[in-house]
Amino acid sequence: MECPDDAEIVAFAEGYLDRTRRDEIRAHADACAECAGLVAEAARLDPDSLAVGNDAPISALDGDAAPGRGDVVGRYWLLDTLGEGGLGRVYAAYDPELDRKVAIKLIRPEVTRHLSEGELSTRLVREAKALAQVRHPNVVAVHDVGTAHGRVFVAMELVAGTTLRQWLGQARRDWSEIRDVFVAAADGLRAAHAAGLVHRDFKPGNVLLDEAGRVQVADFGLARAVGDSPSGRAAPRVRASDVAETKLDATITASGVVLGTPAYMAPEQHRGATVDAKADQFAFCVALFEALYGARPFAGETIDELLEAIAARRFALPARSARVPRWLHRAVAKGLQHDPAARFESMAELRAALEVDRRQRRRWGAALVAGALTVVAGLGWARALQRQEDPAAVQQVQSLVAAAREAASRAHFVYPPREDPTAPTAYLRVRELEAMTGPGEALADARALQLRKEFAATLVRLGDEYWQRPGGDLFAVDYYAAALVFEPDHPRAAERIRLTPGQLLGLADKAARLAFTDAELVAAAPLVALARADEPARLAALRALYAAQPRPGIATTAALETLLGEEAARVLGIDAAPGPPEPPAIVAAAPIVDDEPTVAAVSEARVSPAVPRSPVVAPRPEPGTSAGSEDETPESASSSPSDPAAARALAALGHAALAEGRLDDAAKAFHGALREDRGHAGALSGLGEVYFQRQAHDKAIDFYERATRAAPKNGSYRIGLGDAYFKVLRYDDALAQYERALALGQSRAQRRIDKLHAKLGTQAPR
Amino acid sequence: MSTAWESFVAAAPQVADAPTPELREALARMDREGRDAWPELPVAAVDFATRLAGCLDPSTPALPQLQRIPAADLFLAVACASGDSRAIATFERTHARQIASALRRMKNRHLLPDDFMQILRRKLFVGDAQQPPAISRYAGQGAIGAWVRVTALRTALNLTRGQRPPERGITGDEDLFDFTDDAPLDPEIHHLKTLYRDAFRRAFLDTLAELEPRDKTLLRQSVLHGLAVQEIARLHDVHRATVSRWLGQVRAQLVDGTRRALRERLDVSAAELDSIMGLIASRLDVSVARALRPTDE
Repeated sequence: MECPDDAEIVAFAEGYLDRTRRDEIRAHADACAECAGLVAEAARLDPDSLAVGNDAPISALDGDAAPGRGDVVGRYWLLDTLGEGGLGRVYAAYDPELDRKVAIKLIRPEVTRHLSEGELSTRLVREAKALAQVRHPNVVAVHDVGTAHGRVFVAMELVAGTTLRQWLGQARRDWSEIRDVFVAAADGLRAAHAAGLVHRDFKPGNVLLDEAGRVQVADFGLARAVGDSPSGRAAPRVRASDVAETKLDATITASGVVLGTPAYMAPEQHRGATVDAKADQFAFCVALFEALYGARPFAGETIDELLEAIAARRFALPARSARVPRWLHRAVAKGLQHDPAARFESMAELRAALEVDRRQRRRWGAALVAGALTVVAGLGWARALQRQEDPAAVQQVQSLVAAAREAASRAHFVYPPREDPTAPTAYLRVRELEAMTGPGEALADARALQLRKEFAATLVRLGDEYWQRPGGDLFAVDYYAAALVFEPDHPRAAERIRLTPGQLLGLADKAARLAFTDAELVAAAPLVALARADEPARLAALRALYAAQPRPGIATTAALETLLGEEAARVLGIDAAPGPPEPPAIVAAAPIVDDEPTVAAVSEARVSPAVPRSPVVAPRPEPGTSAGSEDETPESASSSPSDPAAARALAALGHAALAEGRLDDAAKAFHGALREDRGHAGALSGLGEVYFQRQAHDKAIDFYERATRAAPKNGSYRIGLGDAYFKVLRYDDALAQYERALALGQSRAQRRIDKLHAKLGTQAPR
Repeated sequence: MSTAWESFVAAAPQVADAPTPELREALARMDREGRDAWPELPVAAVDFATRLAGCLDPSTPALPQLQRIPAADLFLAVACASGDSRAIATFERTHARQIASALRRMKNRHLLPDDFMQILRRKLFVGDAQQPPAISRYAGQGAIGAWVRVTALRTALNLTRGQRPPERGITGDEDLFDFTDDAPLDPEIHHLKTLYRDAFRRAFLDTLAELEPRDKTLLRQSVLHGLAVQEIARLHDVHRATVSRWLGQVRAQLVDGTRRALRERLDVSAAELDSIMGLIASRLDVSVARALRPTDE
């Protein structure tokens, strides 16, 4: 294939091309380094921020202009502006690493200007830790605190909903409704206090209500994280001049120190004294009073007037006095005491006081209420999802989901039926869902994800079922492989079979294009049959399999026989005798990769207890080794039918196991290979290496000698043999082998020859 | 004097068969979008419409194709293709950063930005006897920014290797190795590298050669091109978590394989090998980090 031009490369990277062309270019880029580079260039999402790193000057963040959509902060990509807070602007943002939306609060530079860089980062680490400790349903979770472009940012859970302030403004709320919200907020404060954090800026604008009605306190401890004076200096007192221009209900900062919001601040906070949980309690009660009565408890145009009113306990006249119960008013008033000692001991106490009326009914009602809330929340979610979609899109999604389930119910997860190789599989339907764009996109994505998990779970369950049964592991491997197609990270499936990314991609590709060969579909057919839940159906399906041509391959048949027992196999008409031509056993066992047998799949398929071992000939025991345990010698297999392809695959598997240091597995695989082909040089040398590594040098010599006889021109084997001779002090023999290896082009032999000569005190002839 | 719509219909065969009001509306909207984005650029509606028609693949329906074309980008391209100097200045101003970033990744210290810009300018907007201006080939499939980066990178590649034909194509794994291997960062690694240079090199390259082509591509995209995980995921149509896992596996394969191959080639103890491999593994990480840093300042 010719290299694609620039426009096509961009079209490829941006998903404009059709599937065929896309696959062509992908395959081409695997081989053509230049095109791979150009594709990579086209795929970059934001050249400046991603590729160059955060040190480079980027965009508006370094200038005076406000950052906006597309700018990158840390690892987050800013989306829309959500609002402007006292400390800075809040954005919706995307976290590519965890694939989720978050809220980013980007702190205004003035707020942190008083801190040196070092101080700022130490403080951030400390505060981030503290903030991360608070995990509570009523606290907006803080994911991350950091700096980018000289500004501090806080990444938080994104809550879709309204602030308490907005909620109160939307409708006239009943006192009990208001009380419930504040009780939830109190729980949030309580959790944070327990972690040693003080909010310091609690107000209705910092309490969020999501669509399901959950109440969450936001901006926890933020004031302290970014503001506060360095080195433990007490925060300065607010002077009227500092806030002359500031409204009383806005967060204020003075000389970079965040002080809170005057209208909600406790008197001690105004004074600049140390602030603790009681200050939060005061702010909480100001907000609650305001919510209940429609006006703040203390009137005042300036801070001084405000403080005076607090000190005099002069509550403003409640605007809607009537409806608030007396006990509730008393609780709020106690929280609003000038002297911290006169308030409630803790938020827990305050919370109890807010629910005095419930105390009797509570005990038996709690469970019911909790249950009902869950249901309501669930309904709320479902409705929210539905609302966004237009009905046609929803219907399209639903019909695709139904089609996917239908295909899955016939066990056509990844492989189509052989008799109808173009029938859409469950996997194809899931991909269709994922490819949907437009109004139904979000719903389709959610459903596709759900189906992927669901199908993967089903397939893993099938895999688990057969994995333990004799003869079943052959099929389990394929179920696991199919599960990985749906959920490439499924832990158990990934652990049980090891597919390289390329192999998995290959399988997924084929599944997506329905590009399986007929042989592969034949091999996959038992998977469909074995997925049947009830025994009669399963047997009927299997019988049908053997009634059709071509029949399943020899490995499949053998496995089925083991699985079902000979009796059942005979009833079914399964004839294990090698029949007419059939796909090679290994391919049948693992219809997973393109053309070559896969090492990973074969490993599980063949090195299994289900494959009967050849009779064991007692090995020469080696002192201090465990070599004799699983041993057999290849001569014993001399009469078994030879299958060179299987031998090759098993030997490759053995070498793979060897590379990973799994000596037992390697030995099994090599022995298996020798059963298929007793003169397989790779397997012989592999066993040589296994025994060498186990320090069973005589045995190693035995196998290496046979390997060199089978492949006299292989220098590597001779080096192996030489090394083994060396270990048993047969230096002359070792030297002879090294020299032949050198002559065969093994340059690494030279080093060994030199070493030997050094050892022997002889001069190497050059 | 024909209208934009008439020119559009005339230039797009599948539209001529079924000229719908939706298409007409889409055309008008795109024209509006282009003009809103670049109010100062003079582009005749007829020219824009003709160019739009030229971007369509006649074998599939026109409307969905039309809707995916970034109108403002194509509008700018049309203006530039007409040779309008204001348009070209606008283009360069808008995409200077894209070009610079592509150039930065070339790691070529001999390529002077000014010279390069001259050459690129000629390629984009002037062309020569064999090639019309490249900008006339931008067909609205994807953002023009990405297209400019690719064109800039290809131009730079062509320049560095003295105008060898672009279909030179297949290279070995040396580029990956070079990336893993160049510029010693600390003396110990340097020492080991000189000590085991050949063995390490061969072990590494052998292992690379045994990787599946796709795995190698993944590695190349991550290490050599410095693509972020989500970008690689986009290219492979999979989730980014999947790519992360794949990359982990490929790296493990590479390190394990190199370890094995190295052990075959060297006569060193397992412990010594471990320490060597530890360094190599950390070098891989360093390489990734380096790949994400600016390379040419």
